[in-house]
Amino acid sequence: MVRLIGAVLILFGTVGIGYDRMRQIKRHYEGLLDWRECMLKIQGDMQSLKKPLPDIIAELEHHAPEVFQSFFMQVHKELMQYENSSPKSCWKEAWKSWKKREIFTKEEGQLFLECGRLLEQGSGGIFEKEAELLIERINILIQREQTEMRERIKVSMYLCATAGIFLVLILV
Amino acid sequence: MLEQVLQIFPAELRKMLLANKDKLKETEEIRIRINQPMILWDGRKEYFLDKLSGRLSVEAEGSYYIKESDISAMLTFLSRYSIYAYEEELKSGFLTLEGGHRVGVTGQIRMEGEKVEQLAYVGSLNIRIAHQKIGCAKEILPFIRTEQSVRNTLFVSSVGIGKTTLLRDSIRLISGDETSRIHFKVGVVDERSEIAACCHGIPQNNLGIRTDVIDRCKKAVGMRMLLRSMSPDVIAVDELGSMEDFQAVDEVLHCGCSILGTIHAADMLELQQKEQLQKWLEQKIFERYVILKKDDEGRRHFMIYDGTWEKIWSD
Repeated sequence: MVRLIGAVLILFGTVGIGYDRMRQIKRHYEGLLDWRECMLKIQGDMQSLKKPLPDIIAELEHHAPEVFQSFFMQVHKELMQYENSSPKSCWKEAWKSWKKREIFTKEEGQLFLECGRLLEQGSGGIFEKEAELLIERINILIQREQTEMRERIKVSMYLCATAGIFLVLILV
Repeated sequence: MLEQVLQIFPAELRKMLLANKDKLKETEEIRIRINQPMILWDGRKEYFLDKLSGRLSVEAEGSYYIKESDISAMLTFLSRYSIYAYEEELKSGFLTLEGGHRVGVTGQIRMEGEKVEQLAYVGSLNIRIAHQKIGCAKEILPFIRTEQSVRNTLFVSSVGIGKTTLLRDSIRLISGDETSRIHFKVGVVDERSEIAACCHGIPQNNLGIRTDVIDRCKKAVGMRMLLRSMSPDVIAVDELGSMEDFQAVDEVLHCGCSILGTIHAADMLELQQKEQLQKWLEQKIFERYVILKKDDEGRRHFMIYDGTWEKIWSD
Protein backbone atom coordinates (compact mmCIF):
# COMPACT_ATOMS: atom_id res chain seq x y z
CA MET A 1 0.00 0.00 0.00
CA VAL A 2 2.82 2.36 0.97
CA ARG A 3 4.62 1.49 -2.24
CA LEU A 4 1.50 2.21 -4.24
CA ILE A 5 1.05 5.60 -2.59
CA GLY A 6 4.73 6.35 -3.11
CA ALA A 7 4.52 5.44 -6.77
CA VAL A 8 1.48 7.63 -7.28
CA LEU A 9 3.18 10.55 -5.51
CA ILE A 10 6.32 10.19 -7.62
CA LEU A 11 4.27 10.08 -10.79
CA PHE A 12 2.22 13.12 -9.77
CA GLY A 13 5.40 14.94 -8.87
CA THR A 14 7.05 14.35 -12.21
CA VAL A 15 3.87 15.15 -14.12
CA GLY A 16 3.62 18.33 -12.06
CA ILE A 17 7.16 19.29 -13.02
CA GLY A 18 6.32 18.62 -16.65
CA TYR A 19 3.17 20.67 -16.41
CA ASP A 20 5.04 23.57 -14.82
CA ARG A 21 7.62 23.47 -17.56
CA MET A 22 4.82 23.53 -20.14
CA ARG A 23 3.35 26.62 -18.46
CA GLN A 24 6.72 28.38 -18.52
CA ILE A 25 7.09 27.71 -22.22
CA LYS A 26 3.57 29.03 -22.92
CA ARG A 27 4.16 32.06 -20.72
CA HIS A 28 7.32 32.85 -22.58
CA TYR A 29 5.46 32.63 -25.89
CA GLU A 30 2.67 34.89 -24.56
CA GLY A 31 5.35 37.29 -23.34
CA LEU A 32 6.64 37.63 -26.90
CA LEU A 33 3.12 38.29 -28.19
CA ASP A 34 2.52 40.89 -25.49
CA TRP A 35 5.82 42.55 -26.28
CA ARG A 36 4.84 42.85 -29.92
CA GLU A 37 1.49 44.33 -28.88
CA CYS A 38 3.22 46.98 -26.79
CA MET A 39 5.59 47.94 -29.61
CA LEU A 40 2.71 48.19 -32.08
CA LYS A 41 0.92 50.51 -29.69
CA ILE A 42 4.01 52.68 -29.29
CA GLN A 43 4.48 52.77 -33.06
CA GLY A 44 0.85 53.66 -33.72
CA ASP A 45 0.57 56.32 -31.03
CA MET A 46 3.83 58.02 -32.06
CA GLN A 47 3.38 57.80 -35.80
CA SER A 48 -0.35 58.26 -36.36
CA LEU A 49 -1.69 59.96 -33.26
CA LYS A 50 1.51 61.92 -32.49
CA LYS A 51 0.94 61.47 -28.78
CA PRO A 52 3.70 62.72 -26.50
CA LEU A 53 5.91 59.89 -25.29
CA PRO A 54 5.19 60.18 -21.54
CA ASP A 55 1.46 59.87 -22.28
CA ILE A 56 2.01 56.73 -24.36
CA ILE A 57 4.12 55.16 -21.63
CA ALA A 58 1.61 56.18 -18.93
CA GLU A 59 -1.14 54.38 -20.84
CA LEU A 60 1.01 51.29 -21.16
CA GLU A 61 1.76 51.46 -17.44
CA HIS A 62 -1.93 50.88 -16.81
CA HIS A 63 -3.17 48.98 -19.83
CA ALA A 64 -0.25 46.89 -21.07
CA PRO A 65 -0.31 43.14 -20.34
CA GLU A 66 0.35 42.71 -16.66
CA VAL A 67 3.86 41.34 -17.00
CA PHE A 68 5.01 44.58 -18.71
CA GLN A 69 3.19 47.10 -16.52
CA SER A 70 5.95 47.35 -13.96
CA PHE A 71 8.51 47.93 -16.72
CA PHE A 72 6.55 50.81 -18.23
CA MET A 73 5.92 52.22 -14.78
CA GLN A 74 9.67 52.41 -14.33
CA VAL A 75 10.19 53.98 -17.77
CA HIS A 76 7.55 56.59 -16.98
CA LYS A 77 9.19 57.31 -13.65
CA GLU A 78 12.56 57.83 -15.37
CA LEU A 79 11.04 60.13 -17.99
CA MET A 80 9.19 62.26 -15.46
CA GLN A 81 12.34 63.01 -13.51
CA TYR A 82 13.59 65.11 -16.43
CA GLU A 83 17.14 64.17 -15.52
CA ASN A 84 18.05 62.29 -18.64
CA SER A 85 17.21 63.85 -21.98
CA SER A 86 17.53 60.50 -23.75
CA PRO A 87 14.38 58.32 -23.74
CA LYS A 88 16.61 55.40 -24.81
CA SER A 89 18.60 55.79 -21.58
CA CYS A 90 15.38 55.90 -19.56
CA TRP A 91 14.33 52.66 -21.23
CA LYS A 92 17.71 51.13 -20.44
CA GLU A 93 17.55 52.17 -16.79
CA ALA A 94 14.11 50.62 -16.43
CA TRP A 95 15.36 47.44 -18.08
CA LYS A 96 18.18 47.03 -15.54
CA SER A 97 15.82 46.27 -12.68
CA TRP A 98 13.13 44.58 -14.75
CA LYS A 99 15.32 42.01 -16.56
CA LYS A 100 15.71 40.09 -13.29
CA ARG A 101 12.23 38.74 -13.86
CA GLU A 102 13.70 36.61 -16.65
CA ILE A 103 10.82 36.86 -19.07
CA PHE A 104 13.13 36.69 -22.10
CA THR A 105 16.17 34.78 -23.23
CA LYS A 106 19.45 36.65 -23.57
CA GLU A 107 18.97 37.22 -27.31
CA GLU A 108 15.42 38.47 -26.80
CA GLY A 109 16.56 40.71 -23.95
CA GLN A 110 19.10 42.37 -26.24
CA LEU A 111 16.41 43.07 -28.81
CA PHE A 112 14.09 44.39 -26.10
CA LEU A 113 16.81 46.78 -25.03
CA GLU A 114 17.21 47.97 -28.63
CA CYS A 115 13.54 48.96 -28.67
CA GLY A 116 14.49 51.96 -26.58
CA ARG A 117 16.23 53.41 -29.61
CA LEU A 118 12.89 53.68 -31.34
CA LEU A 119 11.75 56.30 -28.85
CA GLU A 120 14.36 58.74 -30.13
CA GLN A 121 13.57 58.54 -33.79
CA GLY A 122 10.61 60.94 -33.78
CA SER A 123 7.87 59.81 -36.10
CA GLY A 124 9.22 60.39 -39.59
CA GLY A 125 10.55 58.06 -42.28
CA ILE A 126 13.46 56.76 -40.19
CA PHE A 127 11.12 55.94 -37.31
CA GLU A 128 8.78 54.06 -39.62
CA LYS A 129 11.59 51.91 -41.00
CA GLU A 130 13.12 51.26 -37.60
CA ALA A 131 9.73 50.33 -36.14
CA GLU A 132 8.97 47.97 -39.02
CA LEU A 133 12.36 46.33 -38.68
CA LEU A 134 12.01 45.85 -34.91
CA ILE A 135 8.54 44.40 -35.19
CA GLU A 136 9.68 42.11 -37.98
CA ARG A 137 12.47 40.81 -35.74
CA ILE A 138 9.96 40.23 -32.94
CA ASN A 139 7.74 38.39 -35.41
CA ILE A 140 10.64 36.11 -36.33
CA LEU A 141 11.17 35.30 -32.67
CA ILE A 142 7.48 34.57 -32.26
CA GLN A 143 7.38 32.29 -35.28
CA ARG A 144 10.44 30.40 -34.09
CA GLU A 145 8.96 30.04 -30.64
CA GLN A 146 5.65 28.86 -32.12
CA THR A 147 7.40 26.17 -34.12
CA GLU A 148 9.58 24.97 -31.27
CA MET A 149 6.98 25.33 -28.55
CA ARG A 150 4.97 22.21 -29.37
CA GLU A 151 8.05 20.07 -29.63
CA ARG A 152 9.43 21.39 -26.37
CA ILE A 153 6.19 20.77 -24.54
CA LYS A 154 5.99 17.21 -25.91
CA VAL A 155 9.59 16.53 -24.98
CA SER A 156 9.09 17.94 -21.49
CA MET A 157 6.01 15.85 -20.86
CA TYR A 158 7.64 12.67 -22.18
CA LEU A 159 10.79 13.24 -20.21
CA CYS A 160 8.91 13.89 -17.04
CA ALA A 161 6.64 10.91 -17.50
CA THR A 162 9.62 8.69 -18.34
CA ALA A 163 11.54 9.97 -15.34
CA GLY A 164 8.52 9.30 -13.18
CA ILE A 165 8.13 5.75 -14.37
CA PHE A 166 11.86 5.16 -14.05
CA LEU A 167 11.88 6.46 -10.49
CA VAL A 168 8.89 4.32 -9.63
CA LEU A 169 10.58 1.23 -11.05
CA ILE A 170 13.80 1.91 -9.16
CA LEU A 171 12.43 3.04 -5.87
CA VAL A 172 9.24 1.08 -5.62
CA MET B 1 4.39 77.49 -10.69
CA LEU B 2 8.08 77.99 -11.35
CA GLU B 3 8.59 74.23 -11.26
CA GLN B 4 7.02 73.94 -14.71
CA VAL B 5 9.59 76.40 -16.05
CA LEU B 6 12.59 74.91 -14.27
CA GLN B 7 11.66 71.43 -15.42
CA ILE B 8 12.70 72.21 -18.98
CA PHE B 9 16.27 73.08 -18.01
CA PRO B 10 19.07 70.51 -18.00
CA ALA B 11 19.71 69.12 -14.52
CA GLU B 12 22.89 71.14 -13.90
CA LEU B 13 21.29 74.47 -14.83
CA ARG B 14 18.13 73.62 -12.98
CA LYS B 15 20.01 73.20 -9.70
CA MET B 16 21.70 76.58 -10.16
CA LEU B 17 18.41 78.31 -10.94
CA LEU B 18 16.64 76.64 -8.02
CA ALA B 19 19.18 78.21 -5.69
CA ASN B 20 17.90 81.60 -6.91
CA LYS B 21 14.22 80.78 -6.58
CA ASP B 22 13.29 84.02 -4.81
CA LYS B 23 14.70 86.16 -7.56
CA LEU B 24 13.07 83.96 -10.21
CA LYS B 25 9.64 84.86 -8.88
CA GLU B 26 10.17 88.40 -10.17
CA THR B 27 11.65 87.29 -13.49
CA GLU B 28 9.60 88.02 -16.58
CA GLU B 29 11.82 86.51 -19.25
CA ILE B 30 14.70 84.07 -19.49
CA ARG B 31 16.71 84.34 -22.70
CA ILE B 32 18.59 81.32 -23.94
CA ARG B 33 20.95 81.69 -26.90
CA ILE B 34 23.58 79.25 -28.12
CA ASN B 35 27.11 80.29 -27.09
CA GLN B 36 25.78 83.35 -25.29
CA PRO B 37 25.22 83.99 -21.60
CA MET B 38 21.82 83.14 -20.21
CA ILE B 39 19.98 86.37 -19.39
CA LEU B 40 17.16 86.83 -16.90
CA TRP B 41 15.05 89.97 -17.11
CA ASP B 42 12.67 91.25 -14.46
CA GLY B 43 11.20 94.13 -16.45
CA ARG B 44 13.84 96.58 -15.34
CA LYS B 45 17.25 94.93 -15.20
CA GLU B 46 19.15 92.06 -16.76
CA TYR B 47 20.72 89.35 -14.61
CA PHE B 48 23.31 86.72 -15.47
CA LEU B 49 23.96 83.41 -13.81
CA ASP B 50 27.45 83.27 -12.39
CA LYS B 51 29.11 80.03 -13.46
CA LEU B 52 31.14 79.55 -10.27
CA SER B 53 28.93 80.81 -7.48
CA GLY B 54 25.61 79.94 -9.15
CA ARG B 55 24.23 83.31 -8.02
CA LEU B 56 22.46 85.87 -10.14
CA SER B 57 24.55 88.90 -10.93
CA VAL B 58 24.28 92.06 -13.04
CA GLU B 59 27.75 91.34 -14.44
CA ALA B 60 28.02 89.26 -17.60
CA GLU B 61 31.65 88.35 -16.98
CA GLY B 62 32.07 84.83 -15.63
CA SER B 63 28.46 83.97 -16.36
CA TYR B 64 27.09 80.68 -17.61
CA TYR B 65 27.21 80.37 -21.41
CA ILE B 66 24.59 78.24 -23.09
CA LYS B 67 25.91 75.19 -24.93
CA GLU B 68 24.34 73.42 -27.89
CA SER B 69 23.70 70.42 -25.65
CA ASP B 70 21.75 72.66 -23.26
CA ILE B 71 19.41 73.78 -26.02
CA SER B 72 19.05 70.21 -27.25
CA ALA B 73 18.15 68.99 -23.77
CA MET B 74 15.76 71.90 -23.26
CA LEU B 75 13.96 71.16 -26.50
CA THR B 76 13.64 67.53 -25.45
CA PHE B 77 12.18 68.42 -22.06
CA LEU B 78 10.07 71.24 -23.50
CA SER B 79 8.47 68.86 -25.97
CA ARG B 80 8.22 66.11 -23.35
CA TYR B 81 10.66 63.92 -25.31
CA SER B 82 8.32 64.23 -28.29
CA ILE B 83 9.35 66.90 -30.78
CA TYR B 84 7.28 65.06 -33.39
CA ALA B 85 4.14 65.82 -31.35
CA TYR B 86 4.83 69.57 -31.33
CA GLU B 87 5.80 70.21 -34.93
CA GLU B 88 2.95 72.63 -35.57
CA GLU B 89 3.69 74.62 -32.43
CA LEU B 90 7.38 74.78 -33.33
CA LYS B 91 6.51 76.00 -36.82
CA SER B 92 4.43 78.77 -35.30
CA GLY B 93 7.40 79.72 -33.14
CA PHE B 94 6.27 79.00 -29.59
CA LEU B 95 5.08 76.39 -27.14
CA THR B 96 2.98 76.90 -24.05
CA LEU B 97 3.90 75.16 -20.83
CA GLU B 98 1.58 74.17 -18.04
CA GLY B 99 1.07 77.24 -15.93
CA GLY B 100 0.71 79.47 -18.98
CA HIS B 101 4.42 80.14 -19.52
CA ARG B 102 5.35 80.65 -23.14
CA VAL B 103 8.56 79.55 -24.75
CA GLY B 104 9.43 81.29 -27.99
CA VAL B 105 11.63 79.24 -30.27
CA THR B 106 13.68 80.43 -33.18
CA GLY B 107 16.55 79.33 -35.39
CA GLN B 108 16.98 78.14 -38.93
CA ILE B 109 13.69 77.93 -40.77
CA ARG B 110 12.95 75.86 -43.84
CA MET B 111 10.38 77.56 -46.02
CA GLU B 112 8.15 76.16 -48.71
CA GLY B 113 6.98 79.18 -50.64
CA GLU B 114 5.40 81.50 -48.08
CA LYS B 115 4.80 78.74 -45.54
CA VAL B 116 7.12 77.69 -42.74
CA GLU B 117 7.86 74.06 -43.48
CA GLN B 118 10.09 73.25 -40.55
CA LEU B 119 12.14 74.75 -37.78
CA ALA B 120 15.32 72.93 -38.68
CA TYR B 121 17.82 74.13 -36.05
CA VAL B 122 17.00 75.96 -32.87
CA GLY B 123 19.37 78.70 -31.80
CA SER B 124 17.38 80.71 -29.28
CA LEU B 125 14.67 80.23 -26.70
CA ASN B 126 12.75 82.96 -24.93
CA ILE B 127 10.92 81.81 -21.83
CA ARG B 128 8.21 84.25 -20.78
CA ILE B 129 7.14 83.50 -17.26
CA ALA B 130 3.44 83.97 -16.76
CA HIS B 131 2.42 86.38 -14.03
CA GLN B 132 -1.31 86.71 -14.12
CA LYS B 133 -2.13 89.93 -12.27
CA ILE B 134 -5.41 89.06 -10.63
CA GLY B 135 -7.37 92.20 -9.80
CA CYS B 136 -5.50 94.64 -12.03
CA ALA B 137 -8.72 95.46 -13.93
CA LYS B 138 -10.86 95.98 -10.84
CA GLU B 139 -10.58 99.76 -10.97
CA ILE B 140 -11.65 100.05 -14.58
CA LEU B 141 -14.46 97.48 -14.40
CA PRO B 142 -17.23 99.97 -13.47
CA PHE B 143 -16.34 101.98 -16.58
CA ILE B 144 -16.54 99.11 -19.04
CA ARG B 145 -19.47 97.15 -17.64
CA THR B 146 -23.00 97.96 -16.57
CA GLU B 147 -25.56 95.64 -15.00
CA GLN B 148 -27.09 94.90 -18.40
CA SER B 149 -24.19 94.88 -20.78
CA VAL B 150 -20.50 95.28 -21.46
CA ARG B 151 -19.37 98.37 -23.33
CA ASN B 152 -17.36 97.97 -26.53
CA THR B 153 -13.89 98.68 -25.21
CA LEU B 154 -10.44 99.04 -26.73
CA PHE B 155 -7.34 98.68 -24.57
CA VAL B 156 -4.61 100.81 -26.07
CA SER B 157 -0.91 100.95 -25.34
CA SER B 158 2.56 100.49 -26.78
CA VAL B 159 4.30 97.11 -26.70
CA GLY B 160 5.02 95.52 -23.33
CA ILE B 161 2.96 97.87 -21.17
CA GLY B 162 0.32 95.31 -20.20
CA LYS B 163 -2.77 95.63 -22.34
CA THR B 164 -3.07 91.85 -22.71
CA THR B 165 -2.71 91.43 -18.95
CA LEU B 166 -5.46 94.01 -18.43
CA LEU B 167 -7.67 92.39 -21.05
CA ARG B 168 -7.21 89.02 -19.38
CA ASP B 169 -8.27 90.28 -15.98
CA SER B 170 -11.20 92.16 -17.52
CA ILE B 171 -12.38 88.92 -19.11
CA ARG B 172 -12.10 87.18 -15.76
CA LEU B 173 -14.11 89.84 -13.96
CA ILE B 174 -16.76 90.08 -16.66
CA SER B 175 -17.16 86.31 -16.86
CA GLY B 176 -17.32 86.20 -13.09
CA ASP B 177 -17.03 83.41 -10.59
CA GLU B 178 -19.57 81.34 -8.67
CA THR B 179 -20.52 84.26 -6.44
CA SER B 180 -20.76 87.00 -9.08
CA ARG B 181 -24.08 88.79 -9.21
CA ILE B 182 -23.31 90.44 -12.56
CA HIS B 183 -21.77 88.16 -15.14
CA PHE B 184 -21.67 87.58 -18.89
CA LYS B 185 -20.72 84.81 -21.30
CA VAL B 186 -17.38 85.63 -22.85
CA GLY B 187 -15.83 84.13 -25.97
CA VAL B 188 -12.09 84.57 -26.42
CA VAL B 189 -10.23 84.26 -29.70
CA ASP B 190 -6.69 83.61 -28.55
CA GLU B 191 -4.72 83.63 -31.79
CA ARG B 192 -1.30 83.78 -30.16
CA SER B 193 -2.20 81.77 -27.06
CA GLU B 194 -1.36 84.75 -24.87
CA ILE B 195 -4.68 85.46 -23.20
CA ALA B 196 -5.68 82.02 -21.97
CA ALA B 197 -2.28 80.35 -22.56
CA CYS B 198 -3.88 77.02 -23.37
CA CYS B 199 -1.80 73.92 -22.82
CA HIS B 200 -3.30 70.77 -24.38
CA GLY B 201 -6.48 72.78 -24.86
CA ILE B 202 -6.81 73.74 -21.19
CA PRO B 203 -6.59 77.46 -20.33
CA GLN B 204 -3.73 77.95 -17.88
CA ASN B 205 -4.90 81.42 -16.87
CA ASN B 206 -7.98 82.16 -14.84
CA LEU B 207 -10.53 83.66 -17.23
CA GLY B 208 -13.66 83.20 -15.15
CA ILE B 209 -16.20 80.40 -15.17
CA ARG B 210 -18.23 81.59 -18.17
CA THR B 211 -15.47 81.90 -20.73
CA ASP B 212 -14.97 79.83 -23.88
CA VAL B 213 -11.65 79.91 -25.65
CA ILE B 214 -10.71 79.29 -29.27
CA ASP B 215 -6.95 78.78 -29.23
CA ARG B 216 -4.43 79.40 -32.04
CA CYS B 217 -7.10 80.41 -34.49
CA LYS B 218 -7.08 83.48 -36.74
CA LYS B 219 -9.15 86.22 -35.14
CA ALA B 220 -11.57 86.68 -38.03
CA VAL B 221 -12.29 82.93 -38.29
CA GLY B 222 -12.49 82.51 -34.52
CA MET B 223 -14.92 85.36 -34.03
CA ARG B 224 -17.27 83.91 -36.63
CA MET B 225 -17.04 80.44 -35.06
CA LEU B 226 -17.85 81.81 -31.63
CA LEU B 227 -20.84 83.72 -32.95
CA ARG B 228 -22.18 80.62 -34.65
CA SER B 229 -21.68 78.15 -31.85
CA MET B 230 -21.17 79.64 -28.40
CA SER B 231 -23.74 82.49 -28.17
CA PRO B 232 -21.36 84.85 -26.38
CA ASP B 233 -22.43 88.13 -24.83
CA VAL B 234 -18.91 89.45 -25.27
CA ILE B 235 -16.07 88.53 -27.60
CA ALA B 236 -12.51 89.33 -26.58
CA VAL B 237 -9.59 89.49 -28.98
CA ASP B 238 -6.00 90.61 -28.74
CA GLU B 239 -3.97 92.78 -31.15
CA LEU B 240 -6.54 93.96 -33.66
CA GLY B 241 -4.69 95.07 -36.74
CA SER B 242 -5.62 93.70 -40.16
CA MET B 243 -8.57 94.70 -42.34
CA GLU B 244 -9.90 91.17 -41.96
CA ASP B 245 -9.93 91.58 -38.15
CA PHE B 246 -11.92 94.77 -38.40
CA GLN B 247 -14.41 93.22 -40.83
CA ALA B 248 -14.98 90.37 -38.39
CA VAL B 249 -15.43 92.86 -35.53
CA ASP B 250 -18.12 94.56 -37.65
CA GLU B 251 -19.97 91.27 -37.91
CA VAL B 252 -19.71 90.74 -34.16
CA LEU B 253 -21.12 94.18 -33.47
CA HIS B 254 -23.97 93.63 -35.90
CA CYS B 255 -24.88 90.43 -34.05
CA GLY B 256 -25.40 92.31 -30.83
CA CYS B 257 -22.26 91.12 -29.06
CA SER B 258 -19.92 93.46 -27.30
CA ILE B 259 -16.24 93.58 -28.14
CA LEU B 260 -13.22 93.80 -25.90
CA GLY B 261 -10.08 94.29 -27.91
CA THR B 262 -6.52 95.49 -27.69
CA ILE B 263 -4.70 97.62 -30.19
CA HIS B 264 -1.22 98.93 -30.42
CA ALA B 265 -0.88 102.72 -30.11
CA ALA B 266 0.99 105.01 -27.71
CA ASP B 267 -1.94 107.37 -27.12
CA MET B 268 -5.28 108.60 -28.47
CA LEU B 269 -3.54 110.77 -31.04
CA GLU B 270 -1.76 107.79 -32.60
CA LEU B 271 -4.96 105.79 -32.37
CA GLN B 272 -6.88 108.39 -34.31
CA GLN B 273 -4.37 108.18 -37.12
CA LYS B 274 -5.00 104.50 -37.77
CA GLU B 275 -6.83 104.28 -41.11
CA GLN B 276 -8.67 101.05 -40.35
CA LEU B 277 -10.22 102.60 -37.27
CA GLN B 278 -11.54 105.76 -38.92
CA LYS B 279 -14.99 104.37 -39.57
CA TRP B 280 -15.38 103.22 -36.00
CA LEU B 281 -13.98 106.37 -34.50
CA GLU B 282 -16.40 108.46 -36.59
CA GLN B 283 -19.38 106.27 -35.75
CA LYS B 284 -18.31 106.05 -32.11
CA ILE B 285 -18.64 102.26 -32.18
CA PHE B 286 -16.32 101.92 -29.20
CA GLU B 287 -17.71 103.40 -26.03
CA ARG B 288 -14.55 103.12 -23.98
CA TYR B 289 -10.84 103.51 -24.71
CA VAL B 290 -8.52 102.43 -21.93
CA ILE B 291 -5.06 103.90 -22.49
CA LEU B 292 -2.15 102.40 -20.57
CA LYS B 293 1.18 104.05 -20.01
CA LYS B 294 4.24 103.22 -17.95
CA ASP B 295 6.18 105.85 -16.06
CA ASP B 296 9.97 105.97 -15.59
CA GLU B 297 9.73 103.92 -12.43
CA GLY B 298 7.86 101.14 -14.19
CA ARG B 299 4.45 101.91 -12.68
CA ARG B 300 1.44 101.63 -14.90
CA HIS B 301 -1.22 104.32 -15.28
CA PHE B 302 -4.67 104.20 -16.86
CA MET B 303 -6.67 106.81 -18.64
CA ILE B 304 -10.20 106.10 -19.76
CA TYR B 305 -11.89 107.93 -22.64
CA ASP B 306 -15.50 107.63 -23.69
CA GLY B 307 -16.84 107.28 -27.23
CA THR B 308 -16.60 111.03 -27.83
CA TRP B 309 -12.92 110.99 -26.81
CA GLU B 310 -13.58 112.78 -23.57
CA LYS B 311 -11.35 111.69 -20.72
CA ILE B 312 -13.65 110.37 -18.03
CA TRP B 313 -11.13 108.95 -15.62
CA SER B 314 -7.43 108.83 -14.87
CA ASP B 315 -5.59 107.18 -11.94
